[in-house]
Amino acid sequence: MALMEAEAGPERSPVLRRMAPTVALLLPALVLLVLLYLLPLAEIVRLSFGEAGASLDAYGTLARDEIARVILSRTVWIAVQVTAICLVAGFPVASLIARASPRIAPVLLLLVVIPMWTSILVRSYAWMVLLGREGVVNGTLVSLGLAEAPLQLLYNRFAVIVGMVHVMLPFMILPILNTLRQIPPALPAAAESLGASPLRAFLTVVLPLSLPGVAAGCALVFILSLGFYVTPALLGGLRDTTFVLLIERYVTAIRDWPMAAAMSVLLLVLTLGAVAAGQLGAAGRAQGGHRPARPSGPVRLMVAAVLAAATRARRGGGERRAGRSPAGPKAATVLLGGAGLVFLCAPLLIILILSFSDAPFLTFPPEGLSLRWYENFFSRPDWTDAALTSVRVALATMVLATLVGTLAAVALVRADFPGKALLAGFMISPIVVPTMVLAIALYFVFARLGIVGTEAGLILAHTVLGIPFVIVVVSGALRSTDILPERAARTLGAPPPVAFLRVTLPVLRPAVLTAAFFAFLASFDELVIALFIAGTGARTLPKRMWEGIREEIDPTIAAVAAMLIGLTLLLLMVSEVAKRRRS
Amino acid sequence: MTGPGVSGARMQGAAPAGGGLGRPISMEGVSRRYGEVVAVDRLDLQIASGELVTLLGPSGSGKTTTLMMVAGFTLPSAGHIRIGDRDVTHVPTHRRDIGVVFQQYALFPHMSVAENVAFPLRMRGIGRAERDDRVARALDLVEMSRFAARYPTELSGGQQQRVAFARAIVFDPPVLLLDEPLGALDKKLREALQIEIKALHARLGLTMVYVTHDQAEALAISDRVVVMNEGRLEQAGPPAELYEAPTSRFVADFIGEANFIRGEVASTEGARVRLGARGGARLEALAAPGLATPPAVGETAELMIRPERMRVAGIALGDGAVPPNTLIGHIEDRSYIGEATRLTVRIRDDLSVTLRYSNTRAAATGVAPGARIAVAWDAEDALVFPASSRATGA
Repeated sequence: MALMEAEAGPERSPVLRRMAPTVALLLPALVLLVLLYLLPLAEIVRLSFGEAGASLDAYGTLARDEIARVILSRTVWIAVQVTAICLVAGFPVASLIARASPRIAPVLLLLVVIPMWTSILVRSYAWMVLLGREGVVNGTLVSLGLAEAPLQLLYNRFAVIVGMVHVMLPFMILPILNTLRQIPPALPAAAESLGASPLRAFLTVVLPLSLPGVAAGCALVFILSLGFYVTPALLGGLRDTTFVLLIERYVTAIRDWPMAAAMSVLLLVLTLGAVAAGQLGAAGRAQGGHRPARPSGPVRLMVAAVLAAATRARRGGGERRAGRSPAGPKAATVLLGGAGLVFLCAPLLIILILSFSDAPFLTFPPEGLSLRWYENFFSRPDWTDAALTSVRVALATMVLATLVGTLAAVALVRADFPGKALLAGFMISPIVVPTMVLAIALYFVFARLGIVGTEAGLILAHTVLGIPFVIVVVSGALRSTDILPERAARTLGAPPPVAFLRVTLPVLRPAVLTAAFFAFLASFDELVIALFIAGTGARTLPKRMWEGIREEIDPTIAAVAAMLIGLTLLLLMVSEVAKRRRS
Repeated sequence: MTGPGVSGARMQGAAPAGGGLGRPISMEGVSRRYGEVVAVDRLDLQIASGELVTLLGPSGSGKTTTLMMVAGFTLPSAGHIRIGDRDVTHVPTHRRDIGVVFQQYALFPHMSVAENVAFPLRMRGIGRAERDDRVARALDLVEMSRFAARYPTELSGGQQQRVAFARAIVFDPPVLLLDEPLGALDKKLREALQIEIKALHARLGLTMVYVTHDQAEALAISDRVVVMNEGRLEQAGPPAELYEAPTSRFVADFIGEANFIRGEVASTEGARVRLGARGGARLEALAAPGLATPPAVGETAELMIRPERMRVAGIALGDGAVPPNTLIGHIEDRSYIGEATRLTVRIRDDLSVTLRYSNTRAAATGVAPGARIAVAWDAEDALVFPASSRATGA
């Protein structure tokens, strides 16, 4: 070591020389995130203090605005309700998967992961179809005689909460499942040998140990719910307007930028406050004696959970000698967990079936089958053009985000430098920042640069959303990859970069593929940013669907939705096959 | 809930060893199948009250499955398990009143040491005062009192092991099951804890069933060792009996080291068997005990002799007749292993034997690698088994 440093020469200090590769790895991602994420958000903050930059007028107005206050407290209340319902509904599903046999567990997990990766727009559309006056739910209720006339199920708070729970449930299930799986089956077994009934073993041992996952899931669902746009916009009525809808209105209708900016800052502060509370909660528990290996905040835990889900059910088959899983009473788990899975998957299934209907309105079950809506899609350039735009944008985003994110992940795992945790947190944070806030920030900056309505602009913006997924997936895999072979390669004469590329990267390939898949979907399904900056020049498929859904419930959308579900399935299968081939 | 009635007095340590606190365990025709695989095959086993029995066997022999069935984590496919005079075959684990020490300790990470030990007492609804008292005594017994407020992750492996032990006995179970409890510890600590477990067993007088794959451990701590193989009971007996008088080639091979020499039975005379081996060697030994049919003349058989029962014979290595139970070969390897020296002697291309002698000051000299020597043993120290087939008596 001393010898190498001595050879570094007088002109460059050893520290600089050692940091150079790290900087080179981090730089591309940092440049993108600073220019397309940090600076636009800073612009919004500046804007909130007035055009001159030193006025508190917007905040004063906001503080006196009764409507804004009502809508904000409503938004928080909806987020609380959604979080609570997700917890109650999600825990049994996680338990069910945790206790399922190694053969069945991956299948059940897919039933959670498929809806999770299905476009939010598609799922909200599914609920519109299900809950409408002539929808499946009303049809069933009336035909069973449970209701005399169709109920008003859509465009109200009920619909908003049902739709949001459907979207958020996987984010609750996966972190809980992750912690449940880390509980050695010997622990509840030990409790039973010491005289605890299965229920008490669950309450005294399994439940307390799963609290980190519960906390992560709750924090995550709450944070995402605060800034959630699509579902409240589609399923809610006038009295269900949420804070992001209000922000949008200030931008698009009222055109009061300082007010919109001030509200964005408020939402941003709330969100970061919730993240910090989650972090503190995790740290506080760590002090209470029981220490998880590494105290980790909700974002990291969630993404770890997503990673675990994406990289298949890893479970120590041979270790499970006690023959029972840590999951509590069996019948209740199966019943409630099964119900949760049905809730997650049934809407997708119904949309798939309806897309083959031959009627111009959506009745279930369809009276006749046809492919006319698929034909309609392929014969209309406004649909096909949008689809092609989406594919182009998503592919470019995938390549860019995967490349840049993988490099950054390597630096974040392998290098050691002050402020590393903070930097990692910054690079992952676009996941939790409300997309609406980011969208108007980007819109503001892009408008001045004149790149609104270009595919290039959209690709850059989507890359910001893709990078966090890539970093988390790749760094997780890299952390669990044995470094010894790479060291061996270096003793055999390979320079560090060559050793990494030839020895470690091949092992990481499945993770990089998974990361690419996430980055692709992050762009392909993205609506809110596209609404603002795609203009007419880069109209994506989600944007086209959004217009379609808003105007009329056209069954062509069901066909598109069905194809998107099919695409998700296909991509999941491809990444699954890639992983199988490795093992 | 089981009655806490008799509680405290048991653990005072005043009770004499084997003072009848334990309960007998009886397994009758117990089987466990997983689909096509038979993990445990019609096991009959009686364990006396207060006995310390080890289940020993290679992995996959069914020893852990057997323990898990006694614990109630695995249900038998057939047969009955009784603890005391109670048939527990279908009783759920938490009502069996058994202590279990798990391989990885299974301490609850979110509870302190004291809370862990108090857990079974809380489950039995025992009041605060008595609970604290018994926890303190149990921790005292394993010398862990000063760690009561710590959390499991703050303890070393050996300390966790002691806490797990305290937790498993604090509620005075009549039966204690231990699943490779020392498997994760290093050799020195393992040997120290073996002695402690034996002492605690003597002091508490409960019935203990101990699973291990370490035969030295099994021999060291047990009243009786049960050797299992492929789901079946191969042989059960006190440690010395298993070592000195194995009833099957499997047990002879599995417990301790053994040399096997093939030959053809030339004649039999009571328990005494004479074999002719290749190369003209004449061998003499006793038929293994428990064989349904002793080896018959003309059959191929195997002679088993332990390395420490062989000696370097001081005979002239001429061309003259070699005495019975003597083999001549070259020293292939000599390993100094501290208290003893181990010689590997190549007799023929397809036969080498291992011989071990203590490193006393008068120990054999002049046994350098490459030297030609004779090794010999007494007929009474060797056993004959039918060639490569299991003892029919098992």
